[in-house]
Amino acid sequence: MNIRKIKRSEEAVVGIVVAVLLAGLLFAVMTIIQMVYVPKWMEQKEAEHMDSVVEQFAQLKTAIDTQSALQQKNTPIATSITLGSGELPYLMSVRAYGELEIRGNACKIELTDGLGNVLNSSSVGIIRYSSANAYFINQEFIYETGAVITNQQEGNMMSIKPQFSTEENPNLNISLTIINISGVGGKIASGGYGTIAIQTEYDDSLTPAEYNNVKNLNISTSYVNAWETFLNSTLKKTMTYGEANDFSIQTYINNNDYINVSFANPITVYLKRIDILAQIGPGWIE
Amino acid sequence: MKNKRGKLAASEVVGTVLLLGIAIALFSSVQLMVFSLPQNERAPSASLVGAANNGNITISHHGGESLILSNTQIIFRNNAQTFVLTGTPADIVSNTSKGHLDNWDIGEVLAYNLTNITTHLGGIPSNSEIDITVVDLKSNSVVMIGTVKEGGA
Repeated sequence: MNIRKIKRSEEAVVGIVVAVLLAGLLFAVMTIIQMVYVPKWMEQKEAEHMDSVVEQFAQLKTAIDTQSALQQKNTPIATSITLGSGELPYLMSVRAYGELEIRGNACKIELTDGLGNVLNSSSVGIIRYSSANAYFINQEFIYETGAVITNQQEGNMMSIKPQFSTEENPNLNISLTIINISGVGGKIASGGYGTIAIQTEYDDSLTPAEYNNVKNLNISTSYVNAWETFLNSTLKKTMTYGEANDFSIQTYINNNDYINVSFANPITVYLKRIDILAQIGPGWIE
Repeated sequence: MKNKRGKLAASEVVGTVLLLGIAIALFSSVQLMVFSLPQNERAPSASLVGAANNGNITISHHGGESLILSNTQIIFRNNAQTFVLTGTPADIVSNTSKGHLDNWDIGEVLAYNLTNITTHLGGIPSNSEIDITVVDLKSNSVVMIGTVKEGGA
């Protein structure tokens, strides 16, 4: 074929025009999906992941409660926690990450009498999961003193209550089991997006002690709102004359957050403490 | 010069360009129509818990996204009787983190007087089972369904 014939030929023009326009059309469709639908799908995916972490924390509490009840040493139980969620295939999206850690002495429970003398002071370790989501709001799930707490920027709320019971007979009696988590073997934190196991094992328990003439219950915690709501609703149900007459609750939120429950009449507290060892990741290091 | 008069190739090009033009115009108009319509909002992901005690029906926000009260409908139902509250603040609002309740956030509890509710439901006994449905009007989706009973769960 000579050059003159090629120049005159119009066969290829249509094919190229069609290909370019079709590519443009495809690009436009992909852009709309990427800009409008991907953020919605990812937000939904991250919300579902947060729901699954709540379920996993409920399982973690079940495991620790079982170990507290059986008090059998050298029997670790592993609970899986999914740290993050994956991205969408073929489309551009950001993966969600998370962090699981064991924090020693993050909470403190203190009993004092009317003169301010400390009758008992217990420091407690906690397990905390915090998310690093790209689309959905960030949430934290915390196992603290036997309670499971949900924390987010707007506040916090107790999802599962601790082992705390009350009885008015005629004065108030409180039974409280403090569950202390201690990290061992240096395996106390993990971050990423995969599923990891946290192993827990019963370690020790102190003989239940009875404290009389308790006038104040102080809890130093980063989750003051959750404890306030829980204690307020629990004590209101038990105590005849309710808040302001039988008890008052003050919260202090500053660098050292704590909640103070002050009782009008001295109460009795039955305190039990259980120590649980925990480590994050496979294998067990003593 | 027979080639100069031939119009076969020109007609094919014009035809294809016209067809593509129509296709693009149709696609653009469909896109404009679709995106000018109000977008279907995603249902908010929030964890709500209902309870009936101490003469109140309470609904607590246990985490997840905030709900905008003006876009929230709460439906109380007992058999065929229904009582609907739309964008209405509760009788008692507790644990407000911001001192007001435009957004219903984690930890905040809405409480409704049980006697008022049972009166609106045809004077049923206060220990009757009452179904609660919380609807987000913006996404037209149900956020929570539950049954409460005074003295029960």
